[in-house]
Amino acid sequence: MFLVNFKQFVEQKRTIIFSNFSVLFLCTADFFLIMAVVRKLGNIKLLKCRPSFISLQVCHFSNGAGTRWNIKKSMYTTIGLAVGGASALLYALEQSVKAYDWPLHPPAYNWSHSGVLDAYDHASIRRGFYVYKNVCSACHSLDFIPFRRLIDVAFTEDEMREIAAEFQVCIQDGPNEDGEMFMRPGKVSDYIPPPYPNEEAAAAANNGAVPPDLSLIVLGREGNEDYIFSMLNGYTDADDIPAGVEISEGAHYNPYFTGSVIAMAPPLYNNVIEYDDGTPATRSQLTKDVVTFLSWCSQPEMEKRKLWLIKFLILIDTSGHP
Amino acid sequence: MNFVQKTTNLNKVLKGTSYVSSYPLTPSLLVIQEKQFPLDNAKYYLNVNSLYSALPSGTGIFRAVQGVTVKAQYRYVHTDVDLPSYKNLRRTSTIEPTIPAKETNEKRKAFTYLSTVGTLMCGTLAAKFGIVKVVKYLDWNQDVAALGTSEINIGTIPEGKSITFKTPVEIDAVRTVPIESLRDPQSDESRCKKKEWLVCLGVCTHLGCVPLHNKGENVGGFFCPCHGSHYDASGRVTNGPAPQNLEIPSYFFKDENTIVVG
Amino acid sequence: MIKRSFLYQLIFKRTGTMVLTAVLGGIILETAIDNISEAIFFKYNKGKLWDDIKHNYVKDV
Repeated sequence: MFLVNFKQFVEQKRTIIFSNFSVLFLCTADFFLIMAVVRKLGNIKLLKCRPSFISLQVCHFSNGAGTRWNIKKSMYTTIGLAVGGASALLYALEQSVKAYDWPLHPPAYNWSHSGVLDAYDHASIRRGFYVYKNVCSACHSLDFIPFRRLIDVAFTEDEMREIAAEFQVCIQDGPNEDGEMFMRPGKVSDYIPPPYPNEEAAAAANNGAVPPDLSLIVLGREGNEDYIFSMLNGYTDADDIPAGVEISEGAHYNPYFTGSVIAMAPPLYNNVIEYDDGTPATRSQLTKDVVTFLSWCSQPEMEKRKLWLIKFLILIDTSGHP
Repeated sequence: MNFVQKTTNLNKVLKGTSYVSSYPLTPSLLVIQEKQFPLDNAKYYLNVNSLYSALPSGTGIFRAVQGVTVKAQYRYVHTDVDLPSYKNLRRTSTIEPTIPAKETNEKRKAFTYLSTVGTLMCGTLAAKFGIVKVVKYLDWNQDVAALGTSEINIGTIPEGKSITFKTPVEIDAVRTVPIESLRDPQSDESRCKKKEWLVCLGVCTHLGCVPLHNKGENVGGFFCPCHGSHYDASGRVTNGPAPQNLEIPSYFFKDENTIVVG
Repeated sequence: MIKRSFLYQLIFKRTGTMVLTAVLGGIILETAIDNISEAIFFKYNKGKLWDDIKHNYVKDV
């Protein structure tokens, strides 16, 4: 009877305020529990008066209530414990587990640059840039990376000049002597041009979902490289979507994504591009390379940082032993 | 603590060797030692529990006397501990007591100054990094530095059409002019790295307007529409308010068709 | 092994030589640390850095 009523009560008033009250209630019950334990502890042998001293010493120092532990109090404590525990159990049972409540946590992968002294795999950065350029850059911008930043990191200056010149339609310059803006080929000093001129255009082209800028995406997501890799490889086929999940038109199910429903279509497939160094372009290879590239975009100073760590350690080590 | 020791069984944990009883109401204990305590076994009594178990109990070789006025404390005398030597902490030059301090002076100072110099070396490094940091702060941004050089493809510029391309007639004209007659005397040879190409900033040296090409009194020259300055085909001022010739940027020919300016 | 008293007579007795030693030592220290740490870093990351894959892409130099 009580349980049924309580459950109905929970269902009716499951608000934030109520949950706060229930937490308060549980806290009170716990307080009773702790008090009971402390009182009981007072009676154990360790703190008990030694018989030889009882007759000589005043005995009510350690535990005044030692003899007055009465039935009434223990009853209250028991009731408090029972009610508190039962309400906690009910509250936990009442909450159903939803597929979108729990994003899948990515496993920790062994990246080529994840060690304390490990530099980036620059061949991988180079391949990853091709993946970005041919696949990602259709929707995602890379606002903070200029072409020149890749020189002597993954490309020679001549190669970069050619690649920059391929971004012809996107770079606006001017005004010229007639006062008009004009399009020109990209130069090495330019930043990588965004696919959309502004956020509204991006939203309009993608059903309202704005593709995020990728410059700092690796640092900006919980799980960093592991998350990006798992997310890009984690698309679920239509048959394997958990029961009860409704996927609207143009959305996809991805357990690694927060909320599990992602607007981005699965971007990478086997052999979606061809690598110039002959590496087989499997999907996981493509993903690994683009994640390495994006990780480099997020922290291009990483190698310098690790070099400084070595210098610092040498200096500390030599100055530590005069 | 004393109270807790006396009233509870925790005494075993809290005390090993000494038993102090000073509470006036309790009967004090005096332990009289009748036999030499076996000091050879002292090594065996290592922890509090073993020491406690070695404490005298009521029977055996010890006996206890009760009374209010008797002292109730016994302690062991530690005669088996060596006085510590600090030799390994001292400088080797000062260990021998008979050598005068004057003789070891330089040795000792050398050691002290060596550590000072080591610190100074690190300080010099730190100061250098600080200065480099400040100077780099005043340096150009990488963005700006990247814009500083630009390549111009001159292969596609038709002859005579461009403001930077001189015809042979113009070259003759600018090379035969007596230099002394100019306001800002400069020879054409010193202004052009290749005689066909004049590379100059299109900014009038008077007040910064953009001069027009093939206008004004000179053939193939420049004319500033704002205040009427005239430049010849080499960009040198011939008439008007401009004080200097058109400025030449630093440039070089990368190959036949490419100039790198900046 | 240089004798300490000799070191003192040569360098530490005059402040000028001591400071000069400190500055020169700082320069040497910096160069040494730079070279050593770069050697360690390059050796540790052999095959991954740009310098190691550069020869595939640089045209006829």
